[in-house]
Parts: sequence; C-alpha cells; structure tokens
Amino acid sequence: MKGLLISFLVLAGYVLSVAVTAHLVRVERYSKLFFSMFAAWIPLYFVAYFATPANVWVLPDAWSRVPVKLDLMYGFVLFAFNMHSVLDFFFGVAGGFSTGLLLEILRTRRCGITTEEIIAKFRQPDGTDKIYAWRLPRLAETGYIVMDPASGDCRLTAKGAGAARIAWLAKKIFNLGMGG
Amino acid sequence: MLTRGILTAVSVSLAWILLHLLAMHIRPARNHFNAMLANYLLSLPLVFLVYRWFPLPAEAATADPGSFGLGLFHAYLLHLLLFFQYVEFFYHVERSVTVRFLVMILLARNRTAHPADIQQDYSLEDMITRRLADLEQNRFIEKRDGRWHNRAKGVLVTLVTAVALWFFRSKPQSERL
Repeated sequence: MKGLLISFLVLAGYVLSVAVTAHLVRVERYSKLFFSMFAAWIPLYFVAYFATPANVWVLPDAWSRVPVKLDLMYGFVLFAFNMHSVLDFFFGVAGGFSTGLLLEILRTRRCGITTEEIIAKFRQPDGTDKIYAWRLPRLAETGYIVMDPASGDCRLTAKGAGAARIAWLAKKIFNLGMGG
Repeated sequence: MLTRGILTAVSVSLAWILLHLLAMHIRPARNHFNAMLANYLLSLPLVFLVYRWFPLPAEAATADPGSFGLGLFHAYLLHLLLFFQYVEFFYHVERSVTVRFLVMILLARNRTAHPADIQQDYSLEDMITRRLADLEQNRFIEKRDGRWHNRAKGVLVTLVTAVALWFFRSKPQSERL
C-alpha cells in the first residue's frame, strides 16, 4: 500500500508542477514539458519511498507487510500509468480536435454554428489549413519526416517509418480503417 | 496478496482484451468505447473469481502475506488502470490525425507524399465532418435548423476542457496558429 500511496502523492506533485511551470514560462512544446517533468519526478518517487517509514506514518501495520521491491515497482508502474493518462487527457481531451469543435460550438451560445463556419475557424485568413500548417512542420521538427524544401514532398525518416509501421500494425490488429 | 492481486489484474485484463480484439474482427462494434466498456464491466466478476482461486506458489504466498480484501483491492485498481491504458492506446491509433498522416506517407509510393496529395485524400473538411458525425452519434451535439448545438453531455465535456486549458495554460487547436 505504501507504493500506491507514494505514487499518488508524487502524481499530484507532478501534475501541479506541470501546471505551475506552464503558468510561469512560455511553453512551445507541451510534450517536452510533460516528459521532462516526469523524468524529474521519477527519482523523487524513489527518494520519497525510501525516506519514509514502512507505514508512511498513517497506514495500518498489516498494510505495510509486502515485499519491498514488489511494492516499490508496483507504485512506480502506477505512477507511470497515471502519468500517461494525464498526458492523454491533456492532448486528447484538453487539446483534442473533437473537444476543440465542442468548444467552438459552445462559444456560439444559443446561436449555434454551421459546419462551414466551424471549418472556417480552422483556416488562416489566407485560406491555409491550420491543421496541416502546423502538424507537418512539427513532424519534421521532431524527426518523423523530412520535407524537401524544393518540392515540398514529405518523406518518412527511419523513426517515422518505425512509428508508422507500429501504427499500421495496430490498426490491423484492431481491425480499423485509416481513422484520424 | 499484492502478488496475487497484480497477477489477477494482468491475467484478467489480457483475457478480456484478447476477447475484445477477437470480437473486433468477428463483429466490429459501431461504438468502440461502449464495446470496450461493456467487455471491461463483464470482466469484473472474473477478477474476484480469478483472485480467489489463482494458483500462487507457496513461496510467493508466504513472502507476500496480507489481507484478502487488500489484495483484491489492488487487483481491481490495477485492472481499472490497465483498462484506461488500453482505451488510451486504442484512441491513439484510431483518432490521431498525426498518426494517420504517418501511415498515409508509409503507404504512398516510395514512402513519399506531397502535402497536397495528403490533403486531397484527407482534407480539413473530411476531418471536421467525420468528427461532427461521431459527436452527433454519441449525443454530444445535435443539429437544429442546420446549425450545431451542444447537448448537456457536450456542455459538460466542454467545461472540463475549458478548465483544463486554463489549468495548463494551453490553447485549443483552432487557436494554436
């Protein structure tokens, strides 16, 4: 139970530290923030585990009688799972495409909004597509593709091909279409 | 009992996930989340049964004593977290626009594609229209006189989204450029 308790305390610290950092500095890439904070909190989890007594001052003694290594790794795995869930909540819900659409609809209050008006919100004034305009350059920046400056063609790097193959295999296993 | 709980959670999760994958090939669900949730809920009684009768070696049982109830709690907790991980992985694969781009380039000739070709196959209009249809099917929004409105469920999700955006000081996708 100690591993579980420490992992939830560390998770709370992790989430708060990400939020505080986001308010103090201008964040260009949230993925870097989430992962670097996770890397920083990993040793803190282990320090907290070993620096505290077996019952963490509050647990009944019976709850503390577990193999230490098992309990330690169990708590760490729970922390990692929950960190992943927080990350997915941020990118999938808070920053998700569908929730973005819901937000645009809600902003119209009782007027409602047509499909065409929603689409217009995802275009820049010059008509370029906001989704493609940042995603493809971001894939190039993070090393998944290479964009030919002359032709504009996008080619997968080894990293991109690896990620794409895993995704394609997963789509086959789940029996999904192209999705997106 | 923690050992028993962990092994129970992992084995029951693997079993229902494999069954779910099989079902996806035999009779694909229209609503993937409801299908995953239904399979997860059906697996809950199995957690108790497997935990009760899991064949743990005597050594492991001696090294890891503890109450039956506490071990069962860990079994259910880890089983729930594994469900979350599975659902999240599923939606990474199914919903991600970026993942779709990578796969489209992978399947293109010489694994090279021009953005205009990608956009032709999967335009902004396609992305939005498809998502609006899914949101309508899942009762987050409704259409009245040709205009979209949030339903109660949609309003709730949007409020949670707005709070999260404030909390992490982030912007929705339409404002990122």
